[in-house]
Amino acid sequence: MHKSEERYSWSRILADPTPRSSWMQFVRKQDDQIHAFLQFDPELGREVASAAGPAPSESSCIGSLKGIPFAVKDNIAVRNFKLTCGSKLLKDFISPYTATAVQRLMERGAVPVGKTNLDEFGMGSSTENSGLGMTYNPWDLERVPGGSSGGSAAAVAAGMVSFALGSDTGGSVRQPAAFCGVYGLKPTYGTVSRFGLVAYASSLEVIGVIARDISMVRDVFSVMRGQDPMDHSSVLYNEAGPAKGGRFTVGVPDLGSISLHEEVQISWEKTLDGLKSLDFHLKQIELPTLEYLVSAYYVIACAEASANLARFDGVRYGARSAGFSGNPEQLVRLSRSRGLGDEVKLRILLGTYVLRSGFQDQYYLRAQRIRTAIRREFEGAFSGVDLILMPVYPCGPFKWGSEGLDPFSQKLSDIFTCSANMTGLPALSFPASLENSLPIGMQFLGPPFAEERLLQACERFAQVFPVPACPLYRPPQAAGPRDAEGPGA
Amino acid sequence: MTVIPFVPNSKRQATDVQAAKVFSQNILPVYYRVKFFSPGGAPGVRSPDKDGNRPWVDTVGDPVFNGFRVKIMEREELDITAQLARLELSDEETKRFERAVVQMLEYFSKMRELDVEGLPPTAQMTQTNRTRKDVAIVYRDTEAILVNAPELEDRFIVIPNVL
Repeated sequence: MHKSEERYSWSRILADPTPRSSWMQFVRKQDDQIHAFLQFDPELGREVASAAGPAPSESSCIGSLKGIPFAVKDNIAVRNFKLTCGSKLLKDFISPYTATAVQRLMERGAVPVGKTNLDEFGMGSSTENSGLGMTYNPWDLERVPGGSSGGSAAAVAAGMVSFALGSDTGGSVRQPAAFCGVYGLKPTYGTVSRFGLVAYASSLEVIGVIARDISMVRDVFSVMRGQDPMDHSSVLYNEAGPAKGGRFTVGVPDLGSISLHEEVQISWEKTLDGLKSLDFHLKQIELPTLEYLVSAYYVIACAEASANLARFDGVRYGARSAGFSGNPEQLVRLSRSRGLGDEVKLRILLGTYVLRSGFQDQYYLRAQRIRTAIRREFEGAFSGVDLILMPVYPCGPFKWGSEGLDPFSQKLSDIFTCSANMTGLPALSFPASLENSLPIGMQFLGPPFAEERLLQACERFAQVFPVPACPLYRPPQAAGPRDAEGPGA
Repeated sequence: MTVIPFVPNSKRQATDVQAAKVFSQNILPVYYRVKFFSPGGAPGVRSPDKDGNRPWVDTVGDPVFNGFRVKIMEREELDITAQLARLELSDEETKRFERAVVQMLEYFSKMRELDVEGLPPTAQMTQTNRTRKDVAIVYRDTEAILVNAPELEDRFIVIPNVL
């Protein structure tokens, strides 16, 4: 199906009762296998969206997202929907407000239809750390969808929604997008308001988009971005200029001692060949500080997490142990200990430790100085290139459980993604090839505000390798052919 | 409280290990291995061999002392940290987390190799402070907030006796 037809079908799918109910049936059937959604409620979504702002009248040309259903990672607030963050502690929490990013999309007519599974509070790379159940990769149900936005990526790849929102703290949009064979944009830090995103590591994270269609990524991002009075770290969008000379110069880092799994190595070489055939100019670059990136990243992420997650105390909201009678201090300890999962506790412990007096200089302060070194290194690199190409992850989608990657190896594997978070730079992961019938993703990084450059480069690359469809994928099916409906009917 | 100074494994001498052992009775050598990763701490994933098995290799640096590493944090330190973080860990959990925390702290010690002299710290990416007007914004839909309270009496949230 042609892309614009697919887009049109998405915009019509909720409008009439018949296609709507058959789509809802399709999603429920898909989700019996995939478990992408923690909550799927299009009727509630329609209510929330219609109350969100000036309802787009049928005749007005309000924007290109009218009627389009989308999914939201369950650490991003949508009023009256749950906001569990994948945590047992918040499994019954109902959001009293809506995130700015979601609000802006609703004002343009898009309809949130459900909340997707994630690693608890966004901490993980496989969605196995969700306290509320697993999500399965639609390409192979024995494999993980990646994480932490695993539910969002799986829902998009399986054709359940047109696009989904995720959050990217160290690769949580791009890595699941790569594992599921779709596009994943991590915008420049601060371009999308974090108001309504449950905070994990505030200086690193940003709300991003996952979609199969690159023009959808572009439209969603352009609607979401912009300064927001509710988020004081949000910035005015100041678009970077086009590539010099109209031809992309792509920096290709020497991966040196970093070993890639075989399928990623093959895909990496295919990508380089593909770019050459598209007349991209490839230029070797050096990023020697990459070696220290992951340790510095985890020090900062855990430190910020330990502070941000201090609010979950079981006092004003959240699960409390039944029949509890002790003192408030004990109530807080027990609520946290029973409600939070292992990975979250580990990161809180690490973060608390590195911030303790006496340890701050050797961990947190040192990590922040290394962050400066990394930032400068990337700034230097971008003086000579328009984009930087990197793999997304050292291996392809791995199996869940004991046959997969242990938590420590998963952390080390953030090496390619977390550079964009440490530097605040935009990055877009794209499907690069299929190896053994599984998708492998690569990513472009750009200078601040160069999202359009990333999108154009991916559009060009799609000539070599278009977005693949997983076996479970089915294109959206609206009421009838476009010409039978009439324009804007 | 005993704190062992951080020394990257590559620079650690056997004598450091022995000294550390003498330093405190509480410090026991631990040896652990991590799947998939090549020696030298280079992040990367090993391909499975022809039987589909993945090799077990050491995680960071070379073996230091008969293949043993030195614990870099004491049990007591973990207990204090858990107290500060308002977490209550069972004995079984303490054992599990101790291993994971030590593994990460040892990995963090890699940062010591880099000379950061003269580099200012980066705390945030948007480098300017933007302030808002000091005006209260009243949130009116308090019912939507109270609905999430674990225990209510009328419109009060119930907590255990403070005294």
